Amino acid sequence: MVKVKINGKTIKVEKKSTIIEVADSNDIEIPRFCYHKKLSIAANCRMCLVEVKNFPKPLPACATYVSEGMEIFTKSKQTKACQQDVMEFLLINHPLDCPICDQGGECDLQDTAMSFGSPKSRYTEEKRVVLNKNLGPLVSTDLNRCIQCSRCVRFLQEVGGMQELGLIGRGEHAEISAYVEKSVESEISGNIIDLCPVGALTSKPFRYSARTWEMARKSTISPHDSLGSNIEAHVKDGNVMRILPKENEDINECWISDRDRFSYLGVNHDSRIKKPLVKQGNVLKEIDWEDALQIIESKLHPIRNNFKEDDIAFFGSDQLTLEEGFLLKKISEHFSSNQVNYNPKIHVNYVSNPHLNIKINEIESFDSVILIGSNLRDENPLILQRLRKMTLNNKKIDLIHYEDQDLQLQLDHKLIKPIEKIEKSILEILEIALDHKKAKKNQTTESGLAEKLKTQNVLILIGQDFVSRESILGYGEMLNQLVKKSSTSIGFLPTGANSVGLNQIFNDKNDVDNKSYKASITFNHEPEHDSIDEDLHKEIIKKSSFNILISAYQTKQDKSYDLILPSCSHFENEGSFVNLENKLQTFTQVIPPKHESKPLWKILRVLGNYVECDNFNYESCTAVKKDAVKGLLSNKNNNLELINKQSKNNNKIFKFSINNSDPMVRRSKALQDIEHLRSTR
Amino acid sequence: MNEIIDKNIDFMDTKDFFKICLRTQDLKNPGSIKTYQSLGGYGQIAKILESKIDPQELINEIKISGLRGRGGAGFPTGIKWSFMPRDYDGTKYIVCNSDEGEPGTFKDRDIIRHNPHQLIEGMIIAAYIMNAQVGFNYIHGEIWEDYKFFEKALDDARKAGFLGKNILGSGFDFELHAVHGYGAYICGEETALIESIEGKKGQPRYKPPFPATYGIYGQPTNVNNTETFASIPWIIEHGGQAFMAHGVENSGGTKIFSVSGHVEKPGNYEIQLGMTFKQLLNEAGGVWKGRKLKAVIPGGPSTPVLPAEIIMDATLDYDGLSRLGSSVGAGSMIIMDDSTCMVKALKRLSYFFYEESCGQCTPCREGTGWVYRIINRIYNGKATLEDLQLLTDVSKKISGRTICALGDAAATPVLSFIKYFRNDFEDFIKHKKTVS
Repeated sequence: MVKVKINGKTIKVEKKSTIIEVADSNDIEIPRFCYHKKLSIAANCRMCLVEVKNFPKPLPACATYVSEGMEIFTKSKQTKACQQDVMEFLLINHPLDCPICDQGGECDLQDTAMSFGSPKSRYTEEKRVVLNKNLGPLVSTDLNRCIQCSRCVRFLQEVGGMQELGLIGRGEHAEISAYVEKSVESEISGNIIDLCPVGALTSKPFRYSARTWEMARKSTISPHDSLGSNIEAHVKDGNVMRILPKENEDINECWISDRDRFSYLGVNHDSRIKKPLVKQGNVLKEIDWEDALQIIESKLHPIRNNFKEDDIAFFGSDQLTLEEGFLLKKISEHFSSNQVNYNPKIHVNYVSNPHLNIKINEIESFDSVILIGSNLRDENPLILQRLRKMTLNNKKIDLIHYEDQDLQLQLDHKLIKPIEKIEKSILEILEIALDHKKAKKNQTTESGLAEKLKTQNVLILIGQDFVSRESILGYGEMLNQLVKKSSTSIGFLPTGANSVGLNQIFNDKNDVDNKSYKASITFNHEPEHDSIDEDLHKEIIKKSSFNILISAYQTKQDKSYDLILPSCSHFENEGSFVNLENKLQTFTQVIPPKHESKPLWKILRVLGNYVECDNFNYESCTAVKKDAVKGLLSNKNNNLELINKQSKNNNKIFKFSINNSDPMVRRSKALQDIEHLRSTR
Repeated sequence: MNEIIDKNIDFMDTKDFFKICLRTQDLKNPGSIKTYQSLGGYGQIAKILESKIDPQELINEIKISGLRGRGGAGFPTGIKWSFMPRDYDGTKYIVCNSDEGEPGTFKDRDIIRHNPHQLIEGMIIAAYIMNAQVGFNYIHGEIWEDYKFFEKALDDARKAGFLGKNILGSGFDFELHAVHGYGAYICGEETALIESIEGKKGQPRYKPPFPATYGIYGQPTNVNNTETFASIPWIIEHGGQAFMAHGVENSGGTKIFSVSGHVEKPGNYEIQLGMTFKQLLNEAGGVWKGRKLKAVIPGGPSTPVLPAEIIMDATLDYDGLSRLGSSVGAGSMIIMDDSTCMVKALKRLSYFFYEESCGQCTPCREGTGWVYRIINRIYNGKATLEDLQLLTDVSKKISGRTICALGDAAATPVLSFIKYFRNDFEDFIKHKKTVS
């Protein structure tokens, strides 16, 4: 700790902090543009220059470390002069087109100019003109407004892992540019829109559609991956206009993936189901909810229709909320049916309740991470971002996989072999690490990794793909021994927004037998994209006598269902998700339901009433949650519990693709456009 | 005849011109290894390696010599070298900065062309002192011929066993590479030069950390000017005192002045520091065409201009020029006769800094363009007297607020030109042309 004086006030601060950090934590305002707490320090905007006693020149607060006895003046004459002068320089070539700029009203340059600038400029020369660049379907450029702070450049390089933008040209001709004929394709590129302190980079889909002060801000949770990113939906006239990250250092920090940011564009897609539909002959006919519920009562009432055990099958989705999962579980129990496929993306878990086992923000505390399986760039780009951050802090990441992955980070070891061989390698590594076996004389990647497990503080992250493979039964016990013996931790990477919550509610039982049923209900997913076994679903629908689809969107297989009920999209719904670190996060409705769609929990609740489930008188989602959370495992279980059961598992692996993860994402035009761009490279 | 030449000064006293860096210049085949060896070249490194002289002893000798950085800043070389962590476990680099790109600079080029082996030996000695394993000579992109010539000199030195592994059987390894830039002035700034060597865009880094702790690829690095390195073998051979004796207090040794502009005999003059300006001007043949001296930029455009009446009494050494409010800089002396239009001269200099600003930090990126445009407006007769005030204000706003010294360098000529030649500017604004 050192003592410094800011504006005459003495404070004790950490030795390794910069002036700007000290000021920020003491509520002392220092204007800045290029500085961002998550990025490397550039010290190029010169807005944060402050006067420091005994230094002949003003010093940049972002790049100057405090030292004992330092006296800093953030409001002195010299500091103020610096601020005013830099502001004047920044504005001479800025177009000052605030009235037509999307950033207007939430612009750092505008705000700082108002607080620290001079009201008059003496610049009478011509202004610089910079041609705009096409950075793809997500980010729009107005480079005349750019103040060359280089935040976007540093973000893509340091956080995104790939230098996709750069400052080309010299002096006044310096401009932000992508590679020739290339757009920005990082899966977290949208964050540069938030980072840009001016209106040079704005959201292409959002452009010109609303002003910041016209929108209500509503917090919610992203439904697209197991991280549960905290997001803020900006709402105008009952529509989500845009999504911004909501800072949560423990989960998503201040970032979100492009999928989280632009999926809202799918909310109002043409394929939204407007009213309940019933199949008459070969056509689907719109009917009222009343009539639809009558049909449900007549077709599904278990006693009247003489339902026996396992006479009804349910196909859920990994995006079902905890409340929806709980109601579904109760309904299935009412029908005495074990035929629930709550997560169509996986066959089975061989480990009970696979989740991270540690907190997300603890990942970086390990010396090293060994990543086994998973397609992290598509499944969970922000967890990958944390690993990338570790490499920048000289920590090591290793990859063990059955197919090569470009993780955009510097790997220490990389072990890529076909699936059966890689499983043997994992066995070998663990055997050597536990001294069950001696390493071969010549150094192999396997022995290198085993050595690491013996000596370092390692986190092993295992992807969902390996949790669903029987082979984990072969080495699972060894993983347990390793945890006991060394400082190794094991974490799993489930993929769906509520995979962890649903695993707990349904005790990891995820099977539907291939037979004919009296009825089936499919929830909120499209088996042709979201199911690991599309054919099984198809066959069952074909064989079963009455099939219901409850979904927000029409699908290609619409005609195979007898009754279709419109449910809400995520933003119209409320409920809770359990994220990969086993954290329960509840969200509320952001916009009113579209057309005649209803929140799924309400549909289930009413459906339960019509089929006369017991204790189904929930009056609110909160009431359902109260009962639902009772089924969750609260204590952290370090020991991984293997599930040794016979399964019809055909060892198929589900291929995750970031912009094909759920129906809403598939209907977001911007996301599909960027996917198209990527696939045509 | 030239009136300026003062007959009372014995300007032909050759004692005042003593060649160290350019000592091979007048010999046959000046740049060859043979010529250099005929002067005892490479004898110093052989001696050092053979008797394993303590590096600290050598640093002390350099401190005694009073050698100061010849690139412009004039930082004492011995002190700078002692900043390098000698016991650092890992690769260390030394870099020779031959990226002279300022208008009027052309001394490093002559060293490379006429005495490359002295530079190479100086760098090997430096590598030995600082225990560096790899060296680079970063040569300005616009002197391609000299780059190729230096590559050949490196080849010769390698063949003779002065570079590479196990030099002269001593167990000491040092490899030296030539790197050429692409002509950007900013790459002469040491941290931008380091970025450029790393293959990145030449942009200065924020300091601290200084190159001695975080240089090329994050390793300790020492950057020195060509002339500084080239002075080392002579200092080691003759001792620090002998070098010091060729200069004056605080300014040891000899220094090359690149005299250009309105003189009869422009060129490089290696002088003993402390010599008077008059002597040097006379040696350069005096102001050309029999005209009168108007102004002199003593050390290159980034040093303040001095009017004739002030510079005439100057002695050419670090203290002498700094007393007059200017500096030795890189010794790129630009002579201007009485026909010079100061507005036009400043316009050209400002254009240079505007064009060469790297664009990284705000005051320099935006300010140099603004300054140039105002001067251009004056030159085009579209300015008012208030614009002179604006010009001074904008220059002051750039000065001292930037990451590297380019901002200060850009402001210096503007402020000094207006300070000493305000009348010229006012007359130009009033009459829309030079009034002579």
